[in-house]
Amino acid sequence: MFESTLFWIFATVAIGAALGVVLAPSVLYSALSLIVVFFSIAAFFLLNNADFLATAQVLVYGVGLTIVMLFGIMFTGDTPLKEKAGKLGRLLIASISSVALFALIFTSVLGFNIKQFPASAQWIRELHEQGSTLAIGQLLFSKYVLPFEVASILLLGAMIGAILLSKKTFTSQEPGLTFSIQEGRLKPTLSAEWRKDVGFVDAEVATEEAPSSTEELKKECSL
Amino acid sequence: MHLTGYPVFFVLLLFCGLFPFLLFAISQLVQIKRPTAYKHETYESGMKPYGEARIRFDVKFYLYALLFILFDIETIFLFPWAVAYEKVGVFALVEMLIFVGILALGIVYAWRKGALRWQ
Repeated sequence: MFESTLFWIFATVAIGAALGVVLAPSVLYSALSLIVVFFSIAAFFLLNNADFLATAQVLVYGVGLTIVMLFGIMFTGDTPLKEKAGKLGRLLIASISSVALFALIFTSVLGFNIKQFPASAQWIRELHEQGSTLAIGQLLFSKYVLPFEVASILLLGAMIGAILLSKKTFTSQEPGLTFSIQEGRLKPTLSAEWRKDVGFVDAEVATEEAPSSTEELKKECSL
Repeated sequence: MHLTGYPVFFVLLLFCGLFPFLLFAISQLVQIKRPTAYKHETYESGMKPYGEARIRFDVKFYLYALLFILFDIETIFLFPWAVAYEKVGVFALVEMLIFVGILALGIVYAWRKGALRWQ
């Protein structure tokens, strides 16, 4: 009784907030509304005993993803959609694709047979008593310890990539990577600053500047 | 929902939900009201609060958002470890130290590259 009451409360909040995402007059309000949607979905996970999923939902979606989205809005500016033309066409495309997506999700949920993952009664009781986080923790540090460590290397790679790409700002006047045609071949050249940043040791200084004869052929591409 | 300990969680949720309203209510009750024009101005860290609110921010903030996400995901891995700590013992502690150590390399890298220095 208590659970079903909670479910209906969170379901109402989730649907209301989801409508808010679509109908909000500004992208910023949509993003804030989306946070509410993510938190109500976390509540659904909790109601289904998936306590670890609920935590991950709040940490990754409710906080992390929305921060990236809000930053994206901050960088692009909150410009309203200018073109009103073709509104009917857009509405048609949007409704067809959302109905198709809903049908896809609905049929895949219907076709999903939970019985193909057999679980012993003892296992289920343990999960109910201790929660899934403990079970995941135990598995993560016994059977799946290697994937766990590999995940840290993946995260490290993402971190280094993020630093490398966002540390320097390149403009069309000072591109990080330029392409020039030399002797009929496309030759990529890293800018001196980029080279220094990556720790690129170069032997020949002559390639730093492209010859003036091919200057007009030089095609620039900013990274 | 079978897990125990949720009453505490709901009390906390309720408290967190009501606390901001409580703070504003107390503030309304006990404050001494001597309004001047300056006091009515919007406070914006000492800056003049004029102009558009929706300015475009510098893209250099994005690095901090990305780093935040990565450490956020690290927390997801730390959480089951902390919950299962008593059961998994010293082995898990060592594994976790390796995990954090590898990610600490990223911070060392950021530091060496001066990525955390404000320009």
